[in-house]
Amino acid sequence: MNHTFTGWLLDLYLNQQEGLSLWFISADDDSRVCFRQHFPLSFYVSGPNENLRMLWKRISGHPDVLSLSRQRKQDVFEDKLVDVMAIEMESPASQVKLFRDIEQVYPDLTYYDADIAISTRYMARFGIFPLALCQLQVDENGVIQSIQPLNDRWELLPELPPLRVLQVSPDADPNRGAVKSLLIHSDRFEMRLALDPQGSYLQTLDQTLTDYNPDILVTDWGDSWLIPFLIKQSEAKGIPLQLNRDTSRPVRWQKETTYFSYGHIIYRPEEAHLYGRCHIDRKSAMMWSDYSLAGTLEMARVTTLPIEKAARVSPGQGISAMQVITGLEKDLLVPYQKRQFEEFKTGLQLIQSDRGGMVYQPITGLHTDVAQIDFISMYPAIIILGNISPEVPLPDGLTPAHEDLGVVPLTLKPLYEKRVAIKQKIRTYPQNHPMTDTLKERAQALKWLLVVCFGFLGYKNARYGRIEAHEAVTKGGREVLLRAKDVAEEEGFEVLHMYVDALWVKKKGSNKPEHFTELIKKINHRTGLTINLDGVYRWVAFLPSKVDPRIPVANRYFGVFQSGEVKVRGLEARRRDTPLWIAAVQKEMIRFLGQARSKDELEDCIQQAFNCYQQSLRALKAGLVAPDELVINGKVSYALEAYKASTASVRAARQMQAAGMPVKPGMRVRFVYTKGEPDVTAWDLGKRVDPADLDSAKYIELLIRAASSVLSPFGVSVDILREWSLSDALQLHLPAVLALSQG
Amino acid sequence: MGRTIASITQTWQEEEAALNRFKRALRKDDQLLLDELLVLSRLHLAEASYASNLYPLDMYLIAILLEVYKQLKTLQQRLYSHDQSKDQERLEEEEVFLKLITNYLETSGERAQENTSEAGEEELVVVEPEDDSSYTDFEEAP
Repeated sequence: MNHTFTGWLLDLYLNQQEGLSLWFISADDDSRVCFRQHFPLSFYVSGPNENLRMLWKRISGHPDVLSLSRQRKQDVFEDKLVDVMAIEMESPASQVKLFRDIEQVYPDLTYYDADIAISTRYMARFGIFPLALCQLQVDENGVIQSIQPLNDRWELLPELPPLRVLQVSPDADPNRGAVKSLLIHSDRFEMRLALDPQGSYLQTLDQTLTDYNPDILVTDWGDSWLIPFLIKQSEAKGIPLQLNRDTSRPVRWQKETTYFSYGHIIYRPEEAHLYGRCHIDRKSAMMWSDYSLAGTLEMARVTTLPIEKAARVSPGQGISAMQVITGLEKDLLVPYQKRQFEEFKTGLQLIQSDRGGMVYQPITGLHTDVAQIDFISMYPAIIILGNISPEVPLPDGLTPAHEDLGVVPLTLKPLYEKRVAIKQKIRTYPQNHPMTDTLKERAQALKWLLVVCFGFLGYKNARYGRIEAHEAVTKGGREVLLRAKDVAEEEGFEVLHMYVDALWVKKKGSNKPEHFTELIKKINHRTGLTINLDGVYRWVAFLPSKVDPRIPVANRYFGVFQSGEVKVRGLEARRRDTPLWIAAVQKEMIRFLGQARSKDELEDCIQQAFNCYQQSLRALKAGLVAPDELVINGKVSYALEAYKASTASVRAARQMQAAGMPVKPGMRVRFVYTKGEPDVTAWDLGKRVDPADLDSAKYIELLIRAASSVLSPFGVSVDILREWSLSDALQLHLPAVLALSQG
Repeated sequence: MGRTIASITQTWQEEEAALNRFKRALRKDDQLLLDELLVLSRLHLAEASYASNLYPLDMYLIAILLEVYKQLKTLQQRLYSHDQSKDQERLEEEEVFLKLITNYLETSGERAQENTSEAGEEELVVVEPEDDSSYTDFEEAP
């Protein structure tokens, strides 16, 4: 006898018996329920007939193989249908196992649909994704007989379940010092559990997990410290602690990894995954600071990645999953390994095509009444407009060469439209409306997916990557930017700077948003893309290179919009390795400058910013800054043995290694500059650092550099600041500002 | 990141390095000027990249020429605009002067006519040029 159930999908994973286990949050009574489902599935193999015949003989009669058949299907990169052997398997787990076995024996065969994540397959078959509201028919054994979605991934304001979120964090950074207690927080209660030797905190935590029954466990250092610590303590003390909702399983560990991405070596520690509920470690959730829980859930919904994975992996994996869904929905074969190679090009073709976006050298110095106009998601828009996809003919400029949208634009279109719709929705709410933050976080998550999609077109291992398609996008980008420049100049604007998808323009008498409406309209018309007024700056300063002040730097500027919002790019305050205190001083100085509503008011504001620098310098000299505010967040990109030159980060990492702590390429290494030898102290050694031991000269130099970035456009040179750091008597002169205010 | 060919900044650095021996042999003053010229070429890296020329140095040289020409034009403009205002002033002064002369001559002529009709009054002496060539001589005079 079947019964109907309505609820939101929370978690989905393989089981050996029926195939899948699915956890739902009931829409009727707030209960959490686990059902199972049979999920037979097929994968495909192509290759020489004799090899296929041998494979046929080998696997026919295999207990998990339901059927073997010959079919003709579409490979996305082939013009004609491909002859394939379809292998239908009883369950996803058996498919994974059989594929691994035969791939070792027949590595030269071509495999399709062989390594697709189960969440992606499930979405493609049923249209169900994480946190989708679904209606199910379930039999008396708890096995799903049918399932259908009641909402889709593109819904703007979907009905979401009332999630129970439990936060658990240690009271101190476990890498720095001894943790004495755990801080527990939920929407219903807050508590502090002292880590007593008897382990009563384990009992309390276990009871809390049972009583509150959280859907999402949010931790700090959960992967690297908290969960391993809790499991170890639970085993040592013999006190049971059930972190999973599915009590039949232990915590699943995903191995640590180091990889190269966008020019950086990145280290990811081991990950603790739970069954039936989701564990998110804020310290290893890649984009948490950017889009928080709302963005993570949005990412999971649109990409169909499990919530735990969506929180941790780069958006690239998300976009890749979405492209696979598009492929499956179009009944295309999904290649296991990419077999597309770069086309032959002559030297000149290579020089012409292997180009990025246009990055101009700005006109350095201080400019007033400048508008910044940006193309909205320029590269995704070009991909959609030009129908740029690896399997279709590439456009000539921006004009598509093929009518039917390819896999990539087809994947991007709803994503792009959803982001635009969310941004429009945000504008309908008054400022400080509770919905605004959530929507902004969701839009931010979608932005990252759109950004990454372009990169994945050029990624050699991406299933739907092709370097020529990637190049076609940048070519379109250059064309669009130059058209925008032409329009701006025709309209009498001076173009101060251009950076890939943004232009900074000014015209005498144009200082209100409406003065740029006509320009925007004309650029939209000329390019076919949407350009948006980011804002009008009261003033903006484009900074030169620190090494050679005669050379402009494309992405080093700061300015204040008419709304009072400060925009900073490429300054110390934005760098991850800048000590918190130095970044805070620089931000404060910029805040003072931001108070100037006109150039006449600038002089006073500069004086205030300079005073801020003076006070900070005094505080630093007097040893009033806490060492933890001066920690430098360095990085080692290679194994320590590979370093010939010893940088401060490497010296700190060597101290950690000597203390028996693991140091992996891509790992962040925190340290402070100290007097004498050694000249750095690794922060994570946990040694107490006295403010008097800090090398104040090093920090003074860092402060001078940060202050000079802010004050140099106003004529306050680094020499003045350095001189002042030695003598308190020096007066501030403001040559540039005086000239400006007189001009 | 995954580039097959060198970026425009890399090619600029290669070209700069290729000049090292030439630069070393220059006198100190010239070395500094050469540095300044090279900086000028960096101001148009984006444009040089877009040009995708097989010989990027050509683009850097054009960029230097462009910036030097810009400086030249700015200086020229300053000089020219200075002269122009002077010229304008002078022209205005001349115009006023001519008007005064014309008025004077016209009124003098009327007076002369009146005088000829009235006996006993002074005769206005009008010096006529001897022939056309005297004007030419005057205009060509240094």
